[in-house]
Amino acid sequence: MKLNENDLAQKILSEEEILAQKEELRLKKEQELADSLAKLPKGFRFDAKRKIDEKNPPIIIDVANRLDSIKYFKLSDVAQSIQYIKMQNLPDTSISNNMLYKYHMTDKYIVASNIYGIHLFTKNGKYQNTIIKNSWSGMKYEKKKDWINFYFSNFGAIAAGITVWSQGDNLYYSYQNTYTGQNYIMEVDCSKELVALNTTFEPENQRKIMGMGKLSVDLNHGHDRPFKARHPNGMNTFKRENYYDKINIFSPDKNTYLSQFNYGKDMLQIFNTRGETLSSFKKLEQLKNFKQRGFRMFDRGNSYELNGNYFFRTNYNDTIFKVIPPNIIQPKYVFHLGNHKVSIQNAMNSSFDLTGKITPYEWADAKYYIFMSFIKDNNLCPNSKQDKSVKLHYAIYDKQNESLQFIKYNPTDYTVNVLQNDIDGGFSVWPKSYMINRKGEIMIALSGEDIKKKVSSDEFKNSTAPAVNKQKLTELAANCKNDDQVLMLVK
Amino acid sequence: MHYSFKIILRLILKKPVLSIINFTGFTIGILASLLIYLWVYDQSTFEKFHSDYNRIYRVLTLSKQGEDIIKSAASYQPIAETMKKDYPQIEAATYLYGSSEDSPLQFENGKKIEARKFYTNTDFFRIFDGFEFLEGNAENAFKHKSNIVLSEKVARKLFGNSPALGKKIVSDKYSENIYTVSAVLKIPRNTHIDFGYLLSEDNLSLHHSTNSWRDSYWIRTYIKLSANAEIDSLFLNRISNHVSRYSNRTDKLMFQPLSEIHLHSDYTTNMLDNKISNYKYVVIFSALALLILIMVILNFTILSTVSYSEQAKEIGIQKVNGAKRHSLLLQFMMNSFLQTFVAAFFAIALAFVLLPKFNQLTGQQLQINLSMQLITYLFLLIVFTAITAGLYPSIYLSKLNPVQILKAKNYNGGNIGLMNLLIVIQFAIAIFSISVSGVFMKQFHFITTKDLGINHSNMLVVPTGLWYDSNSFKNELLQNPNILSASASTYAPMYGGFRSNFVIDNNGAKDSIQAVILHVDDEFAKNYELKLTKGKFLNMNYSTYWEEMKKKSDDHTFSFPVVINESAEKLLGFEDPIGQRIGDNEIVGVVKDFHFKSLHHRIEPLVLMNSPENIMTMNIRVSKHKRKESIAFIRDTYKKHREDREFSFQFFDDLLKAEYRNENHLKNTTKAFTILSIIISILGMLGIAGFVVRQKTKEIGIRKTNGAKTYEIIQMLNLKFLKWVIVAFILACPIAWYVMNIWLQNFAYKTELNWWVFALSGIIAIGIAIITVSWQSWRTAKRNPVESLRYE
Repeated sequence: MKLNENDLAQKILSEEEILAQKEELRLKKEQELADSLAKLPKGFRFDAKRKIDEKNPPIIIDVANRLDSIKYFKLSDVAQSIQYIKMQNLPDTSISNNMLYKYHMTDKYIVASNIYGIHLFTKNGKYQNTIIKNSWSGMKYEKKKDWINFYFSNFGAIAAGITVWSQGDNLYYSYQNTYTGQNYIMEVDCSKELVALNTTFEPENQRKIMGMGKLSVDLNHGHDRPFKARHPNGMNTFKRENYYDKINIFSPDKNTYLSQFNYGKDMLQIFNTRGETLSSFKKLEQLKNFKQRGFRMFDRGNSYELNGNYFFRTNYNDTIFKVIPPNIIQPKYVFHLGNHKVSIQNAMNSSFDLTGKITPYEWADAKYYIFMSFIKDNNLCPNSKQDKSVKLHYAIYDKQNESLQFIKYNPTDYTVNVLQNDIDGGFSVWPKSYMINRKGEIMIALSGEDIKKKVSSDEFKNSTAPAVNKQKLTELAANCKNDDQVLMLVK
Repeated sequence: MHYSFKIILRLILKKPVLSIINFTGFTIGILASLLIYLWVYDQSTFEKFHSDYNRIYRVLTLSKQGEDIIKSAASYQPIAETMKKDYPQIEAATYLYGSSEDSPLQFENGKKIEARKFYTNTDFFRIFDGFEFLEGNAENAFKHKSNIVLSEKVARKLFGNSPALGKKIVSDKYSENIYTVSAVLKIPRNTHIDFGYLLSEDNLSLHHSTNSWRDSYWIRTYIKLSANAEIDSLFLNRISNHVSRYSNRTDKLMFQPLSEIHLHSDYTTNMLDNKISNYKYVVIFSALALLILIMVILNFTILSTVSYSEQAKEIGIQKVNGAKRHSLLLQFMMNSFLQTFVAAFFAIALAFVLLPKFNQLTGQQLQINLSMQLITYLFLLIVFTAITAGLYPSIYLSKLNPVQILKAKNYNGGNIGLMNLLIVIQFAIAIFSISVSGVFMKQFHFITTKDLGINHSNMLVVPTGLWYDSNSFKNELLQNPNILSASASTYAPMYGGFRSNFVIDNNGAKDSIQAVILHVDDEFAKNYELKLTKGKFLNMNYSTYWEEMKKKSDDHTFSFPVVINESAEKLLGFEDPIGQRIGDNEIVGVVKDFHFKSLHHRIEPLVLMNSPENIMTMNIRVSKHKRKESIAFIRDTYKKHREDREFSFQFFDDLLKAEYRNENHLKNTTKAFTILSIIISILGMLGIAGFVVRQKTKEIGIRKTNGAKTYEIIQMLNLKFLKWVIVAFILACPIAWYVMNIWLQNFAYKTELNWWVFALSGIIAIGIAIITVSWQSWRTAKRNPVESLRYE
């Protein structure tokens, strides 16, 4: 166990130097951007640039020519181990524990969010702090159906959005108070000791921010308007997973923030912190004379954050862009769909026959692999699932070998248990775009109840996974209560 | 055999002075070796009572702090759990999570005691299986979250001799917790781990686990490797990078064998690291014992040769009468063995008598257990001493030619060259010892008398744990005229404080510096008489403090005043530091550098802050002539504030002495060894001088007859020896200087290696030689020359 102290000291110095250089560069760029943005005349807009990074040209995902290369995949083909992190129950028992968390991992923390709030945990699941405890009215989560209903008649929120993102030690979340109309991006410096949240409502100070951290961007730029529903008797319903998948607002740095759109001509706009539009990106493909009242929206595109950068693909499009503020988007991945490609015009037209047509669907960018799926032959909706006219094809892109491989799987089995778990016999895996951490590991949210059910299932019992690993999962199940939250980390 | 034994006895009795010299020398040599063996053995037993101690390692952290790479035993809490999970080579991993002060414990309505609390996990008992369970067992120790494992000391304090198992104890420091005693552990003397009680990690409050990859100061991590763990470079590389894999830190890990913690902890330790010593002391003491043994052996070698030479005719006759060489050799060896054995018995008896004194000198608690190991050591020591001492005279004398011996009128077989060599070696060792001892004393005097930059005379340090209540306690104390001044702080300014990074903005350039924080109240500067060079001292009261804390929690601009020392001022580089901000603090004053740690450490940049949450100690200056009354008053006043807590105090000067405990023991032990080496040198010199004087009896008689004065005779004989003492001096000085130069590097502040220390050693040695030789010469020179001439 002897190590050379001088060698280790040298390692530390060189790693520190690299970190310092990176940080210096980041700060310099941010400062340059801030300086240049500050000098801009009011109303100034940059030219929106779609620019290829010549050193790293976009990777072509050759779907058209690889459709026939089908291979059976198990979890062990793409992962080596699984870690289960049991999240400590929240000390505030008034916060409901009936909804699975959406997880985000910083270098130091696990950030768990759901409609009830955002909480910090250590990497081994110990509760640290509550960043915000959401307060809602007119919102209901139905656990059985796993969906969220919003009733506009009495809708009100002093709450954070589900999506959080981070840069270094700084954690960001969106915050809104529908009663006062406040709409902010909040910044929490997690390198500092976080003082416990004071959630006492102060009637004389209704604008008191009920979450931790400081205001980073006022999204209303001083013009707050309390929420007023357009259709007071209406309601909205989201599947939990769809709600989690959605990124409404994102700030790639301290000087800008951006919004992505599915509807309308624009697909992305970048703003400065005063709310002035710095650049606006139009969709390449626009709807022309689209007059049908009913339309199909089975592709909502993809958006995800990776290492503080924002990536997106707009609906029915074939390119995944990386956003570089204030005015650049770089194509990073391009699907080659060949004859299978369907235009937005046809895809949205409900009378267009989609047989033979392929639309990109899911996309999860992990460390060594990209997990993706495609919708084929029809619109993805309950009806087409019922008559099995729509097919889901799953594929894995190997970043090291630069190869795309489709997975042998029943395309009309919509249960999405694609990668059978032969590591511990537990849950089959198919990652979501928003559940990949900084290290490129796959995160899966589970409850104690899920785990208990799994270990008592025949599938688990009959699994040929190593007995030691199965035993660990069995032990975990025995130590879990039904409402415990567990993060499954696939490495 | 019987005959040889008779001859030996006759020889011993015939030359009583020589025999006493040899015997005393042997006794001293064996005694010194025995005592040092006991001490070295004790040092080497640390942590070895755990069954797999050679597979247990303490995790050390190398981290960049400021511009330096610092090695420490501090480690992050998740290391144990994550390492065990990540590496199959690790069989068990545990940590001890301590705290900065003791926590209260109370059984029913009994006396409230305070003891050091540690949190740990169940692997603690798997790794440290040498801690004997006096009650309970490892399986049930942490079976329930509310279980508590007590040390024997704490159990005895709470329950006397009654069983502790199953009893409920209340601890009410922050909130009231009730624990059930699940085990009582015996902590042996020879371990660096010391705790009052252990709690399961499940009890770690949220507060403790905050930022787990950040806080490490109070945590020690230990791992145990599997029996057949494969340790290759890949594993070592991964495990040393472990922290970086879980956080964005660049810290690297190292692994210190458990058995090396006691003697080989070459990094700054804190209150969690008990009984840390230094292998250098083992080396120094062992070397001193060896040198003494060498001196004794040389004494015997030369003096035996000389003594036998005087009996040369007897040897010649034995040979003529058919004595074989091997029987003579055996006879000489028997003499050596006999004297060594007898001396060894005396030495053992003396060791029993002198051990308490030796323990006092070295600060140890050694015991003589006549174990097989000790008996083997003694046996080997005796055999080695006897053989090395008897070898030369045996070979030299047994090979003498009987014809030559008998032909010579007065055979002078004494090898003068060898005798001179003895003088050189013995005096070189003695001069070395005196020089070393002199430097130790000088350095000790330097560190104990150096002006620390604070006035600590009659300063009483009382650990209060009063925090917010400190002010009222202080105010009550100051009502008494015998209390001259008082101030509160985290610790006495002898234990340093906590290191922290401060972000500074120097003309727009962001930077960070590392400084030590000491939390003090507004009277601290006045109480310790710190010299203010710029601005003013802290005068913030607690209500202002809380207002600022509220601003901080509300994320508004806030500011805490701080005072820095000159070293921090220099490091910060502000033209005028007053009004500048470091981190969240505004500099309001600068004090002259003062020592807030022992002189082993340099004065570091210091930030003095005021925060009532960190006030745990009261520093009270009492009237010199009313010490007893003052202490009684302080005790009574304290009891009003904390009736349940045990009152304790120490004078600052005693704290200071405790910091230099090792040096004090080293100084005392070296002094003792120096005296021993001087005694042996004198004995050797007496023996040789006696021999030479006897050889020159006739010459002295003739010289006296021819008119030589007594002083001329003394001068002649002295000169003969002095030149060799000077050679010894020339040889010993550079070695002593080199060794002392290395030793002094342990200190940030050290005395000068003055030439006069070495010159004085030489003078002392020469003085001893002159006195010894002169006494012998004077006795002969004063004799009537007629007697001298008739002598032969």
